[in-house]
Amino acid sequence: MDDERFEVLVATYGADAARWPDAERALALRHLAATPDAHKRRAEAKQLDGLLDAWRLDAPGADLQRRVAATAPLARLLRPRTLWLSAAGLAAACVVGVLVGADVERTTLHAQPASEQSDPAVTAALDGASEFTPNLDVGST
Amino acid sequence: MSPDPDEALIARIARGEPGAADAFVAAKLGRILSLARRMLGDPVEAEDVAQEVFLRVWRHAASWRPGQARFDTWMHRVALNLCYDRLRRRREQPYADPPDTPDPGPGPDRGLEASDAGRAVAEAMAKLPNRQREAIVLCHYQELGNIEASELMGISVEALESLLARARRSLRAMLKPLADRL
Repeated sequence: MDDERFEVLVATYGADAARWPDAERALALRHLAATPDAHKRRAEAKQLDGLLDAWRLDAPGADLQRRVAATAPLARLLRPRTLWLSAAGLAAACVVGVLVGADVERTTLHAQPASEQSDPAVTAALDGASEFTPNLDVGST
Repeated sequence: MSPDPDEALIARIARGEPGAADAFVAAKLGRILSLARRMLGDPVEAEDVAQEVFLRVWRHAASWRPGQARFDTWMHRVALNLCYDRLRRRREQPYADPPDTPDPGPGPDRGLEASDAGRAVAEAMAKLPNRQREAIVLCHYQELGNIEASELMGISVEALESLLARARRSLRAMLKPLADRL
């Protein structure tokens, strides 16, 4: 790297080597180490860098952060796993409904008038109803 | 190209994971807001721009495919486009000029000197042509590399260097009285 390019480099990117192009940084630092005049150029650029850095901005407040984050959609409601869980929940609700229904039916039959209970056919039907066993295996649904 | 540091968080946002959006806002809002404030010189407009950028992030997170530009670069591009829309509108509407005193990033907790210097720099930056200001904002304040900044601006590295050098020359001239006082 020659004096001219080094001068352009600091006049363009400033004094901080971290801002210099990756491809030229090592060469520029070597030039700086070997050339006293280069320090003067760098010092001029550093003064402007310092002034630019004086324009500091406050970090966004917590309120603004909350407001911006609140605009994110609740995408998790549409996640496939959630949908699967919803389906499983619906199936479980159906099974509970069937169980409750069967229990109500059995209670209703037991509550019939005594005259009807004496009928052997009704008694047999009641026995059958008491043996109703719903399929609780909903794990595969 | 090195891996995109935002990739994992974007994937979490796309999956709707709780807390992912909060983490992303905490990591990026300051950066995008600073870009917009320095480009526009108006904190209210800058806030509007930042909010719009994040709305687009939520919309595009699920369809984001890593491997091309970094997500941060894409966000910068969106923010810059929104800033330019507003700068264009100001030009078309004479009464919607930028504020006389651009947002200096007031610091009641800072000394008078730093606040004065900040205000002077903000005013000088506002006087630069838009493209020169953009180059300084991207390379100095946003700390983007020259290749990333030139791609973002759609120009060659040589053209970026020309913009930067002219901008710094103008700034040095405008800020000379301040530099002499310090």
